[in-house]
Amino acid sequence: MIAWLLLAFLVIAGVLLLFRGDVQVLSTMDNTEIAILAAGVLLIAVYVLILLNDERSRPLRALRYLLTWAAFGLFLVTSYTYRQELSGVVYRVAGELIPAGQTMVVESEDKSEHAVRVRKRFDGHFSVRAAVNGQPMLLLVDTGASTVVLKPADAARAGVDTRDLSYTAPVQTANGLTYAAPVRLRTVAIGPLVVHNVDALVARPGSVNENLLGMSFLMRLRSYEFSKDFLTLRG
Amino acid sequence: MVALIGAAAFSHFETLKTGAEQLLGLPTASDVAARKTATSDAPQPPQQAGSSIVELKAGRNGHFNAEAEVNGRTIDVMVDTGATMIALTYEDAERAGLYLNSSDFTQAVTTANGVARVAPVTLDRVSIGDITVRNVPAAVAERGRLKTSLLGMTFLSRLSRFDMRSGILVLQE
Repeated sequence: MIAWLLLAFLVIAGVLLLFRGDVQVLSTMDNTEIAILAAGVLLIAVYVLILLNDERSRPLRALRYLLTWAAFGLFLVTSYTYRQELSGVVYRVAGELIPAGQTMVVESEDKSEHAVRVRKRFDGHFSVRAAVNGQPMLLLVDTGASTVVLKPADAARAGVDTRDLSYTAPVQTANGLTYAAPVRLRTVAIGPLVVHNVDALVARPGSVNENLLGMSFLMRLRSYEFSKDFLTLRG
Repeated sequence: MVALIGAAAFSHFETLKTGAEQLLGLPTASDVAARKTATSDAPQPPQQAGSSIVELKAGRNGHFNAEAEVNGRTIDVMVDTGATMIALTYEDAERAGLYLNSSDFTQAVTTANGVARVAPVTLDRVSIGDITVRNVPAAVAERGRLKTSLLGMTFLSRLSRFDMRSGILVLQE
């Protein structure tokens, strides 16, 4: 028993030695800090005592266990120290794992600002999964489109009466002039990022094979940023 | 496979709202303002050594237009993330010294107005302000099909970033 008490004393002395015997450090701590430190030292002491008791005849194994725990503790502290840098890594890993078009909510310094991030598709374009009038659909981010453009089928899903459309808006395309039907969408939402009353065009059946997230939406954002493999929208 | 690659090649889809000027192809006042490119001196994120920055102001409908130098000739382009490649009008291609005949239009691309035929080309150098990108895959549209040449993803994805904030598009090499 006396041996154990001696050991506990040695452990505490060892921790104090960490402060290079500088008792000044202790005097600058407030009570809470001293309490936390004492609890920590006590926990370590108890663990060391239990370990030495269990592994009495195998000191090397005891040492290995101790070192394993020390390494684990060091890893946790290091991870915590680099948590800012690691959050970038976490986003990248998450970005690789989620399908293209799926949006990640990004934390923003400004509380009134919402930000979402999306990964590049295999063909180099960016598309986002958005809720148009509450209906989920994929749209290609297109700064070359004046408005949001919907395929007739998706427009119908979003509650647009497609039997009653008039294709009156002249549209300049890469293949000459065509006409589309102007409509107004109640909401276009990408995660927490919501824009109301968005001008849109419904394309003639069969003319476009993708919905387009054009300038009538993008102009209403605070910012959008294309950076390497990711697009970040803020609004 | 060609159809797959070309699936979103040209998604330039611009509503005509400015009437006569647009139809005559004359630049509007806002257009001219928008085409002014300048090297940034605004407090943008830290600029790395040797990386150039170009700022573009939003033009009509919020689109971003720029003056690009293609093979040494100046061509007006619109920034278009919906275009897979740089897309040149037939006329702009001629100005850049690319003379094509009908047998060159070998590639089919899907547009917002059906399938179009284009001529695949590679541009030696494309510059906007101080930013230069070399060996850029591009496509030339048939005569009269395309209104404005497009700065598509084959150029944009070679930038380290480009972002829009308060009506200003910043391109960074």
